[in-house]
Amino acid sequence: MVTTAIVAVLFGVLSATGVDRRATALTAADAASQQLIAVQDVQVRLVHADAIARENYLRGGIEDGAKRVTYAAELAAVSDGLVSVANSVLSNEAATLAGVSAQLSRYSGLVEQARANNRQGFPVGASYLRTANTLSGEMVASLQSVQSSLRQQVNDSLDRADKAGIWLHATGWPLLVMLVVGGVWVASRFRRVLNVPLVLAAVVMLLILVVGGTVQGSAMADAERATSGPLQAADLAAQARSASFTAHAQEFTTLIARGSGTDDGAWQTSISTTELALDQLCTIADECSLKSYVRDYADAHASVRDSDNSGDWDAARKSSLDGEATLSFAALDSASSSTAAALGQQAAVAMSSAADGLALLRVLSFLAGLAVAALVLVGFGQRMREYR
Amino acid sequence: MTVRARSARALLAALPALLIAGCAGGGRLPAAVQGSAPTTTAAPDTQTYSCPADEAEADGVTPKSYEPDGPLPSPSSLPAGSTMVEIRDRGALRIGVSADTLLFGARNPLSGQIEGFDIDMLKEVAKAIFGVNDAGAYDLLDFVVIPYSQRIPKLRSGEVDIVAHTMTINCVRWQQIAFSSEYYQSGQRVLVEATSPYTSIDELDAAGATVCVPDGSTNLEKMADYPGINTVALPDISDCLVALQAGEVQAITGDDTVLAGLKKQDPATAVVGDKFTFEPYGLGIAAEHVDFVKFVNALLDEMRTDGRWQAIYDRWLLDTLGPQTPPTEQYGRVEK
Repeated sequence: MVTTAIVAVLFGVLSATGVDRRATALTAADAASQQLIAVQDVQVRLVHADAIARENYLRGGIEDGAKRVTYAAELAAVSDGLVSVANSVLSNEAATLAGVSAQLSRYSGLVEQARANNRQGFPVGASYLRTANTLSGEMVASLQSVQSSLRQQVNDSLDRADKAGIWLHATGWPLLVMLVVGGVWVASRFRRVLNVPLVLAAVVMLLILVVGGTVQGSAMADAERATSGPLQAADLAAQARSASFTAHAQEFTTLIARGSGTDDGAWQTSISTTELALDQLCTIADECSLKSYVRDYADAHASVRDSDNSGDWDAARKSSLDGEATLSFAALDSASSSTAAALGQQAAVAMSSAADGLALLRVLSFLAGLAVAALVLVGFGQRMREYR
Repeated sequence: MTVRARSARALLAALPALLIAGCAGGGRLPAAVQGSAPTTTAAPDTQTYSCPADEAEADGVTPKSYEPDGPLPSPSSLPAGSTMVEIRDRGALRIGVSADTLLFGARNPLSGQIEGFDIDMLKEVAKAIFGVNDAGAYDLLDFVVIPYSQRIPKLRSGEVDIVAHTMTINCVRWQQIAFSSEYYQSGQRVLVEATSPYTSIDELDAAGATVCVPDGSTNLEKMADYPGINTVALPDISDCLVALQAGEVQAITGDDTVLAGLKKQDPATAVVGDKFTFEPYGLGIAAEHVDFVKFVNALLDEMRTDGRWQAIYDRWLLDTLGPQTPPTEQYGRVEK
């Protein structure tokens, strides 16, 4: 009797702990997923700013004023975003992001030197720009390493949440078996069919196991669906968007380096990353509309390269800055921006709501343990009094 | 079977399903996607070229070019069937140039035009073929901006008629293409900050100074002669100027033509010391277009004597490289 009561109390404590661990792990997964989206936003803004810096350099002394305003706004957003995310991530990632912040100051200085030289018609500006571009590449690599770490944190948190679910069942089902076996034993021993408190204890256990199992299973399934659904979709959309800006920036770089850099391999690698990400996005989220925008831009880019490779750099530059390539990339940018924003919002909502209901279950499972212990004591106590 | 037994069995049967519901599994974030560029397997030029013993020149002597058959023909009397007539009938002279070598071939960001000493030389060639004025000549140039590595391949493939790209004439290159007579005599010099105490490569060597040089260049090979210098090789000579401005190196060494362009971009620098290598520049032309080489040589002969070469030099290089006269032509190459 006492053993069963103790097991019941233990069940209450352990199952509540298990539910609590699952809730904590799912909350951690939610936090890591939000940090992932935030870091991706920082990266997208950085590569966007870098693409604008190269575009304005290619324009020469006469820059596009609106683009320059956008460049400044994106850099400011990158700076703010780095500070904001660094305050919420683990120390390793925070140190990496602090390094990116330091590089950002140097990057903006190099771009300004490139701009100043370019406005005077000095080719050394291209070297300053190239140094800045190399630095932005290093910053992107750092941000990608933070993203990899955050993806791993999401997955590790889900694994922890998964494992925590066992506590409810590992303690609950043996307790229920003990209650049933104990009830049967008491019934046969005392020749009484029903012991109401023991039956109630078994019913409470069964209910908490079924309802609790369903609630925490549902929370886990919701989190995993959110991860492999909206979160992965948002992740892919951000990757596609970032790679598309990198490709666009590379188009400008190739034209800036006319005569000393006709290799289009970097553009092809970036656009291939964009296409791969969008293929997967199409598969998992049925969001396939962006692929046609990429194809249109790739066609326009091919025309830019054809013009440049055949010696008509002016036509290539015109198409890249104010022609078909500009229009097709602007369409891709606009469409991918709204898609990425919508998917990011969906992911945030889906991940944050996954743990809903676990707080109540944690209390209920603890109370159920106490109630079962009390009912066991009452039930066995009745029979003991009758026996005496 | 009793009711109790059936209930117990039902519970046991439900256990696995409930356990599964509690431990759903799956649903993880995959690693980031990574695209790749299609691999291109361009056939490398495996042929090696060397200088035949009977064509080898002494160090410091410009290899000979083809002597003109006579005075420069007027645009209206170009020899029938010649390369020049072919170009005139096409309506454009296809030129291979640099667009980032300030003073020799660089794009003016305000005008959008590529300009410099090399470009003016090619405008003279266009004027001689088409009979147009200076402004009209620019419109008849079909610019193909090429990197250093593409100068010879573009000529050999026929994509350009002529290359003016700070290109040194040497015996090995003569095995692949033809050259005009020398139109500019360059050499390796040193660029330092205007306040620098160093005035020559030897002083830098003696002081163990740090000197920047473009990677993969003949300039870098020459540094083996100065073991005291701490050599820093960067991808482009403009990167060297960035390093000099950042105080990371004390000097830059390269062809005086390129250094002149760097000085133009940073007035707080100075080109110092004598030339310590010999770099005769020539206009590159396809090996089979000997008639065109002779035509260009006749034009250069005229320009040397009528002041046009000097005017072009003074316009672009006098301020930074000081006074210089046209190099002397070296003729006598035998057509094979």
